[in-house]
Amino acid sequence: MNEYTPSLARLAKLARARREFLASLLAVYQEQKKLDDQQLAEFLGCNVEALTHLALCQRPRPFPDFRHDIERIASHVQANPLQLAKLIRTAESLEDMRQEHSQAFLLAARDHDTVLSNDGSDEEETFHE
Amino acid sequence: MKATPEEPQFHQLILARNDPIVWDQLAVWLYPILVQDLRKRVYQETDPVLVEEAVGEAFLNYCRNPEKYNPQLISLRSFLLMEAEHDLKNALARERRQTQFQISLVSPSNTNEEQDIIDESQDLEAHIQGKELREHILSTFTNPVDRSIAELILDRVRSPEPYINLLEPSGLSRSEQAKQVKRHKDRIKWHLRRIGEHFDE
Repeated sequence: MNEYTPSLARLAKLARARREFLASLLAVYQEQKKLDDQQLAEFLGCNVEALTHLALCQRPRPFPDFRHDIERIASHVQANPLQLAKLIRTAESLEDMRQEHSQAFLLAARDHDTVLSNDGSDEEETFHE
Repeated sequence: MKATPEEPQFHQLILARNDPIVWDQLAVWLYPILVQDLRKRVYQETDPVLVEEAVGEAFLNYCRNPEKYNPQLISLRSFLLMEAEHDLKNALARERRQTQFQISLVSPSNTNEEQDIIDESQDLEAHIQGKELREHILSTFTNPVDRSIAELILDRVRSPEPYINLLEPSGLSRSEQAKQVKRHKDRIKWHLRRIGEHFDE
């Protein structure tokens, strides 16, 4: 039992599903730019090990606190603040776009369901081969 | 367990929400301790990944809603340990139910426990009485995501995370993700009910 060492990396991975953590933005950016951890660390000018701690930080607050928060986080993980700010801005934009796409998809699905519910005979064609 | 001097300081900083690195600092300090605490409380053979996930979820939930913790009543370490243990027990019970349900699908002899599981199942699940039938039902879904969601529903997975992972609604808030998951689940359940009606006819 004592051989097992808890890993903050696992916690950081869980945090990807939580919007309030930087982990979610890092995941969006890595996925979009197809970067592995080493490449991401190089982009930010920090160690790979620091990515776990970066992921567990809170997202920076918007203006007027954004700059202060970026500097605080960058100093904490020894990363380049300009690169970090660039990453966060890009990832937030990507996230906004995804959200818009998702909402458009839901609206389309709702319209589709409405049409189907008005004509019960076609209901199963949506699902059946 | 008595609160250490660090705990109230961390709690105040987290409540204030104005220091972006405090969650990481708390995690570095408390997370390994909590995992070890919980491992001591549960059976040694319990999957350590499940233990870590339970502690992780408790920790992340606290960061999101620190107001739920009352430092006048209990130490932060005890509070998080209690939450994690509760989550872990639920996860283990859920896993046990799923295993029993799968066994009941393969071998439909009804022991009391299996009967309980069947009693708990929803209307749509009442129509599913065997592996072949299950596969037939799943084959009616042409969309692989729909099929995977149907499998989760048939396995009675209630935790939202597996559905969120399938739908990948990243970029949405928690409540929006939940709405999207519910919408998809309702649609698939409706389809499953329709299949059930055809078998009744």
